[in-house]
Amino acid sequence: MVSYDDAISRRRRFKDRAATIAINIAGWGTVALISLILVYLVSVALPLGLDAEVSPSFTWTVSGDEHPLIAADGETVVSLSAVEGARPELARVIDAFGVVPGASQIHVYRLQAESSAVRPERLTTVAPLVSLTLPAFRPESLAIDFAEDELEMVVEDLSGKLQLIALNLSASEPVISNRDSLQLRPDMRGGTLLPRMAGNEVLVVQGDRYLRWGGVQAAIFQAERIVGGQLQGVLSRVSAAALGPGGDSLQIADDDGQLHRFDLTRDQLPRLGGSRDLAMSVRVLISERARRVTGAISSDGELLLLQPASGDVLYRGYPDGLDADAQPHFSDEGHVLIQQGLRETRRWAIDNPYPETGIAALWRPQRLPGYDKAVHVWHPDGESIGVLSKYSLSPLLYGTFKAALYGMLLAVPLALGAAVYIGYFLPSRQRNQLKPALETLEAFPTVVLGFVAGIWLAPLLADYLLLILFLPVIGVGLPLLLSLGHAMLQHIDPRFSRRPPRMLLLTSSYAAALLCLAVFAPPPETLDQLTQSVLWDWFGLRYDQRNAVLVGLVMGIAIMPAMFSIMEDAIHAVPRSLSDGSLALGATRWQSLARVVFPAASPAMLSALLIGLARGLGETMIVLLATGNMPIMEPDPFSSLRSLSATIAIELPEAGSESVQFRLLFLTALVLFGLTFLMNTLAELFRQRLRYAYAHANR
Amino acid sequence: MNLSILRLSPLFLWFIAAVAQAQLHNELELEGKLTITGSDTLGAITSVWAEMLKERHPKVLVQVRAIGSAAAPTALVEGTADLGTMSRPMSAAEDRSFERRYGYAPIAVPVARDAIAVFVHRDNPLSSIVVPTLDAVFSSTRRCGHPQAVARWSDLGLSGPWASRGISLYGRSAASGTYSVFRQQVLCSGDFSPRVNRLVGSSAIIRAVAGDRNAIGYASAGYLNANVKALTVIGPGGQPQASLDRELYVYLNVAPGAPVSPLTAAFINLILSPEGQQETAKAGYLPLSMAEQRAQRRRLGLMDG
Amino acid sequence: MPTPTADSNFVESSPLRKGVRRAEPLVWLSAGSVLVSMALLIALVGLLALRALPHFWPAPLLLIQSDDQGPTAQLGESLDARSSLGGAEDLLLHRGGEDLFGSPLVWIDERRVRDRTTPLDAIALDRDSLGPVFGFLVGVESHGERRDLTAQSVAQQVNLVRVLSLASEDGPSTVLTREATLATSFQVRLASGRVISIPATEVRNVYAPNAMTTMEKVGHFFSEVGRFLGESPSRSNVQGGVFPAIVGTVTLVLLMTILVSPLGVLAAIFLQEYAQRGPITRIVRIAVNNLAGVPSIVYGVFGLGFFVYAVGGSLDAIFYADTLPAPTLGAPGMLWAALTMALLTLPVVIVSTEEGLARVPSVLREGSLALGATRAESLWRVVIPAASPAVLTGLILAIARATGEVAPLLLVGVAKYAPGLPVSGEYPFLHLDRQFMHLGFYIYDLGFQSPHLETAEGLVYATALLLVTIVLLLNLAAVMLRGRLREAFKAEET
Repeated sequence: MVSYDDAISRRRRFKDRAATIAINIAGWGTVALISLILVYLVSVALPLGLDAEVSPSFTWTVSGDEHPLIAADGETVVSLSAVEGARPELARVIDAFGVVPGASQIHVYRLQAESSAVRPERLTTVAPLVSLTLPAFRPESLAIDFAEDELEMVVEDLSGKLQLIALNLSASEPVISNRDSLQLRPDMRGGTLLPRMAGNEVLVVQGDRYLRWGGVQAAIFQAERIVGGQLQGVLSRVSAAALGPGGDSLQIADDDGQLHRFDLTRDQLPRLGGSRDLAMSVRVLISERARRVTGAISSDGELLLLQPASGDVLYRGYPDGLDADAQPHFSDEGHVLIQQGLRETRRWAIDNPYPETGIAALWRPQRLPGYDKAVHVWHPDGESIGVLSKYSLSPLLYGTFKAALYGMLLAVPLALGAAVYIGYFLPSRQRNQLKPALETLEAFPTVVLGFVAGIWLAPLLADYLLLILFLPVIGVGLPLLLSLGHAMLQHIDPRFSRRPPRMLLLTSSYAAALLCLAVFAPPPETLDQLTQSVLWDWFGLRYDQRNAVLVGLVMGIAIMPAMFSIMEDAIHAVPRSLSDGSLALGATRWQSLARVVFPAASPAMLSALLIGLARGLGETMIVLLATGNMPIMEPDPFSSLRSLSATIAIELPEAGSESVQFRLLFLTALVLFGLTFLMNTLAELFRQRLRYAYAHANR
Repeated sequence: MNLSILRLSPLFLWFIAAVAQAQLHNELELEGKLTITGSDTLGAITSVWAEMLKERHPKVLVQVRAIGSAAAPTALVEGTADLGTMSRPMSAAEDRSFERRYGYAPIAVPVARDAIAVFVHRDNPLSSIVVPTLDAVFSSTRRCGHPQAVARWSDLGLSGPWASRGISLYGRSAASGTYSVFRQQVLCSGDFSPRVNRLVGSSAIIRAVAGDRNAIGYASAGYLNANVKALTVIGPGGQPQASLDRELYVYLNVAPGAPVSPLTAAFINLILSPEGQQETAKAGYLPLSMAEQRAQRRRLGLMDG
Repeated sequence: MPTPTADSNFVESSPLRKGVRRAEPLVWLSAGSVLVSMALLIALVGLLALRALPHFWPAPLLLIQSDDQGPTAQLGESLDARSSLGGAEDLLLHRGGEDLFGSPLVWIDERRVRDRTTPLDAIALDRDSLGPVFGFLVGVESHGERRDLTAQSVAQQVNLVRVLSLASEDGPSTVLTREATLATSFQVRLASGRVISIPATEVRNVYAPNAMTTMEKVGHFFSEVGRFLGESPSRSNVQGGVFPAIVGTVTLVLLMTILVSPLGVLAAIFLQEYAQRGPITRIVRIAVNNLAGVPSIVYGVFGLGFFVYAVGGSLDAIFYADTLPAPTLGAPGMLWAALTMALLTLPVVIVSTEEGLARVPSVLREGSLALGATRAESLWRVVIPAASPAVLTGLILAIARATGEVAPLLLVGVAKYAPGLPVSGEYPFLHLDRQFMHLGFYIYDLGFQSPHLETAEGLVYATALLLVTIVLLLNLAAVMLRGRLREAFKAEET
């Protein structure tokens, strides 16, 4: 028997339990969500910091007439058909082409297999696409480069002449598009040949001497241009020379294990920074073409992978079977290291997905080709046109703080002043009207602020800069003047010591001042010339139209209300009894404010500063629309900036979800998250201190 | 609480009614959703095409996201778009990432031709500029061989009140094809100076240059207006540089042998029709010739349309 | 302050010094900063209104005769006047249609202007695309038959054009059929003397601004405002209304509210009523508080990576495998945008609800429990009703924040052009996978990416004004509600 009451109470109990469960789920769900954001951001950004790993993946044995060769994709393996006199172990591989030297012939193979999977047991045999005959040459001197369907080959023949052949491979039949030769001086013979199609030149390095044939950055190969010289700062014998990543730099290793870098985009071949100690006796240097990775192999088979510009070491170890004497090369994407030997063709898998995001590369200045000094460069978009990207987060972080701090410059005085007036001087009823009105500003859509700043204010600021810079003077000066006037009047007649109609007086005097400015302002051309001579010629400042001052002005409006709200709460929360007590004890109002109210409210003030700063750091639309998004690091008020948040907004939609840029942008989001979370937590702790301190006094 | 909901209801009814009214009712065979992501340069014209498609097939839903050319390969590879619009051809790396995902190459359909213009404030006396100098103005690497950096208008030969003025640079943010083409052809694939104001749209650039006497900027020529003055860019031979023209593409994800989906086919047919190309001309680009239109359609097997 | 004191220095001090001691300058300064802050708010809204409203007001058409490169006549709306570096006064004229001139805008050198009039018979024809036509109506052609209209008054002309062109939209009451409209075109003489023909179907509106009375102008103004609110944008967004953007914004916010309110309120109840007080609860509370300060773009990043790519991508692989690679849920869209926004506003709702719950006197709770109510019942019947204004405040604040927020939407779902509304009469009525237009993004897109910004600028300012008005009103409502709530409880506590 179940009584009616029992049924009811069971239902009630059930409902109660259901509610408890639902509430618990929601509560813990929220906690889980918060952690999920953090965990997810970290999980995407974390792989950026991983080191490289190298592991052997395949070895093919050369047998009789078969010589396996791996294309530059790292996946396609073919067997070269035996050709009389050819030296397959000296083969050079680039893109889908293999070039094999003979004694007086060069054989060009197209390395295409039926299946792209690595199948060691069934290799397709390919015959040469074309064989070119040259004067007898040193087979080891063969060097090649490839760009836009053109294959360039250089050898040094036995008479010390450079022989250059360029093949156009776009049509079905290869066509020789260029053929040239150059007699080397005896002291340059036997050097390393480095053809470089990006600069339309051939570089020869012999010892610490170099020769550039074809000129620098010419539109076409100019055979008559020859520049030679000595590499600066190389003190001991050169043991290896190679092009750096992307082919923009020359890298030299000497007998002391020092790595030297030279800028090939400049005529004089300037050094790129000091030398770097690789701590090994380097036998071979190789670099990836599409990423900033250099590999060095020592005579005892040690492999070092590093990011040469930043010096971040990615890997150091002894991969199984690495032969110090055979020439290795990276696959196009850097995921495979290949070595064609006399008896074996070996392939190592390199797990090195994010080589360019080491700590030094992201945050420290680097010497890069094309730049005259160490720089922080954010230029993450090289892949789409086939040049190296530069990922330096420093300018972005710098810009983020710059924007926020310039915003604080306006926001802090305004918020503080308004908080003191409304929280301390105003009677309660007026406070309840004014405070919400000011707080409404907080919700002002930032996209509108950014739009107004970018479209309307930017040209206005440029035209009327001096006048606008004068506005703060008016803003501060007028109240002080009025205060002085008030005191004077009191001196004349004590009747004036009654509370004056402050707001009315201020409003009218501000309006009058603005009107005066509007009426008596010189025309824009005069102002322009004046600004020109005062700011730019005197101080040597640079003026970008979308600058930090502009951002600060608008950002100040955006972050002021939040700060004001907290500050005002804090000042208002200081028990009236404290300040009244101090006044009763004979303190002046100033003393009471400065010694009693401010100290009591100071933790909350600090918390307001932190919260304002956090808001400024994360603001996106204003910075995106009101700055020129320049990744530069200059503290000047009139130079532009680029912030982390704006960078995310611009670049994330275009970044592929597997790309370095995608993960880097997640890292920047994580940095933003961390920064703001930290600041807000600190702010919260400060605020709680105040709350505890006055929890009882308020009752 | 109940009361407040009741009070809201007229507003809600208006909302529903307005929504219902905005819906078109028409019975035509084609329906579905077409998402187009990519070039900002092509954004305006793509919106127009989308609207035309919508007029012909009211049940079709077209969405256009104009972010920048680099967004197109990403969206195609991720599968977040049916069509990608690009103001430059795909790079080898982008092509490769597509092929790795799908096993075949994407199909590029040229849809218009566009010129990049370099322009200055309309008061500026400069009328032409040579490529290496332009490179030195816009890049920090000066790969085209100009001997020294250019920072002031006097470095470009201007005198009088212009001599002491600094140069303000305006350009597109990285996603755009305009940016990549300019980088390849004018900067010799060097790096842009960090001092280039990178604005989010071509019209923002025109607007900024119009309001800044010290400005020089580049954008799609289709956006030029009376507020700015275009410069003649002189190439190596002393002739006006012609290669600042480029083709604009729509990229499709079609497996070899498979037919183009009817929706995509309808859209491409529209673009490659005289009406579609007329809009191209109105938007300030050079339209394709009739023969080219036909050739493209034949290539895609769309001749019956 | 006549405080008796032994400090002789103080007694003899001047009023100036006394003033300083009484912090008089500080009072003035702080009052000044209140004023400046208020002035900034008013100036911003004022600027938007000042720039937006003229967009709807019929601007006079200027006929300018000048001898710039030979005698020329130009008709159009004056947009801007400024002086160039050389000292010449220039006038920027918008002369209409992109298809009629190389550029719709032209700068006219004031020194070369011979004559400037506002001809009464000048008319403005708004078209569906390519901008307006400014000129003089000379004739109408229908079914190959041409009639001269130069003899008629401008009012008659306008009426005629209205009837002929807008007839098709007026429904059964009109005398003309759609076929008649299709076959009709108008001959308009431009200022240069060239006569062009405009099909009646392209005409959206016609008016003769120079001949309008003030009342007519007011009428025109309101009809344009109505059009702005109720119509879809036209070709490439440079003209027309923002209706899809309004619908997109409203739908987004409603969806977000539906998602965030149960979770936020329950989570707040959990933190305030159910969780044990201790360090963990405190940490969670601080974390929730701080989440409100995490930049919105970070939520966008999370939304794109987690919701769109990870969750949406896997859902597509499971449920929509047949349509791959075309994405259904694995692309930015309404659902993900609403979820991201819900996540973004969750802390706002939690904090506000918690505040409300904390203010409910424990006497109420204990009383109801003592009377035999279960915990859930006392919550549902007593505590939540008492805290409901706070909950509502939190929701309104959340809505205000979500309405004005654009940054995360750049990543998770807005589109430049998406005429397909997220809600419709077609099954399934709510289209969660669709991208949508948004007021805030519309400002961003139109203001920085539309080809003819100068002529569309009024539209951008109008959109901005609309957005700001909505957000500020919502916010004001929340603030007032909160204020009333606080006062009410203050009264109860004492």
